[in-house]
Amino acid sequence: MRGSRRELPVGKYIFPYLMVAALICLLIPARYTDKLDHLMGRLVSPFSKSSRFLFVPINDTLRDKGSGHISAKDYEQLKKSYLRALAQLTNINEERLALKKLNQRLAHLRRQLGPKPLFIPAGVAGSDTSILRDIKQLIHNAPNELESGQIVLGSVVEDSAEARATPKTKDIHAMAVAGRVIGRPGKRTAQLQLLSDPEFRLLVTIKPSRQRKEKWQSVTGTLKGEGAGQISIEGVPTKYNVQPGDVVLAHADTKYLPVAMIIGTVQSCQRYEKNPVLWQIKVRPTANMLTLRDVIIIKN
Amino acid sequence: MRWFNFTIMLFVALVLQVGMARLFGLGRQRIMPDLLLMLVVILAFRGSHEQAPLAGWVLGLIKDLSSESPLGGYAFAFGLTAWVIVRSRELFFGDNPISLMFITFVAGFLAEQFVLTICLFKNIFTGEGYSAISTAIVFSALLTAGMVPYGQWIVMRFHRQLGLPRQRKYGR
Repeated sequence: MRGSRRELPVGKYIFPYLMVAALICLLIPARYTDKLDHLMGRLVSPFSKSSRFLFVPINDTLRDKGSGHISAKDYEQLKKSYLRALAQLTNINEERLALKKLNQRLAHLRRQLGPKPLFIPAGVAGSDTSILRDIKQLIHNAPNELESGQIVLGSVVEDSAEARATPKTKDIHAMAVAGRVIGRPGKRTAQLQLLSDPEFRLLVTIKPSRQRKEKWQSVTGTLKGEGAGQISIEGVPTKYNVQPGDVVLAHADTKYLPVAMIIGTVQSCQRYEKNPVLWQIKVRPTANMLTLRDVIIIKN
Repeated sequence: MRWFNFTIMLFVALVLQVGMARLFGLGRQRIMPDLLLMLVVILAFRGSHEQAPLAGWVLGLIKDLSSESPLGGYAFAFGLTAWVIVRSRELFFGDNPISLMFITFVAGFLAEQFVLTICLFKNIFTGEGYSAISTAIVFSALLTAGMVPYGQWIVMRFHRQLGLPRQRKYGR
């Protein structure tokens, strides 16, 4: 480069070899490159973590704009109240139904866990740099407690000074499933795969909303992320009359989720063109995915 | 190229990309600009024949490491992008910001499509969300292209520290 005294004379010779190395990395199976990726990624992770200093103050000022005839401020308040009430109602009801059954299991779990936390608080430090993935970087303070697959809960309402003043674990009923931990969690960092990530899959239950009288109580399907903020459910037969507004719950799981928890509501449903006996369901998540900041990881 | 200063700039861009880009993204999908690709295009536009592709490759590698894409995908795409721009800039591209924006848009779209294709090939994605992701890619590329003249202005403020020529003159 002109004007530069310290040019690398080998630059043009190295470049072809580097491109060949990149091609080789692409062509060989991922299991061989994962370790290398993980090791080299550790070099970058301190700089990714420092993004939290930018993320937190900016996140406080962000607001999701409303639409429609009512004012944006009213819309915000209504939306917050509605989502919060819905999440509370659903989660409390689910807990009440499952409480009797869970009582013995929880006591057993407590004996096994001892003083270890059941809910691990963590902070969102930033996003994946690729637009193809919906993955967040987490910072936590529970080394050796996290593992891949653990369910992560996000706050239903946007974070505010009032919300931050209350302890997070007391407000667990106002939280909804936001994603799960993936990869190999580090001592202080982990990766949160959001519901909308194209690789995300989760067994879910759809329940009709309380306003409707239906013969069916629930139906099971597979939730999958479609990228770009889109979430869908597949595998639900059309003989179940699913309608917009129906509640979507994460299926209880002995390994990761002790009780079914709310994910969101059905946004729209229509028949698949290729397979008309199945619904094509779009889901509106209850957790605020855009401004996730403090989350809770469930250690079952 | 002064590589130490380049490294500092790279990590500043990385922190901004990870911490801020998604927050200031547009729409429900939070379409975000790609600051690392922007640097690739600017350095390929302004840098030397030998070192600009190398810088592009390094920027791609950093993007690989800070994302869940397959290792080598962005490194190859960004390296190739820088190499193509370096090889063709004297013939095709003037000093107009419009041409820079056009190159950035095309480069951003093709690089992301390349990585998306690799992901599909490696079964990381199924093809069902392809249209939604492609739309996000188009808007991300547009956003990056819209920001590139400002990015160039900022980078050229530090041309001395980065060892870049003040004027855009290419000589062998």
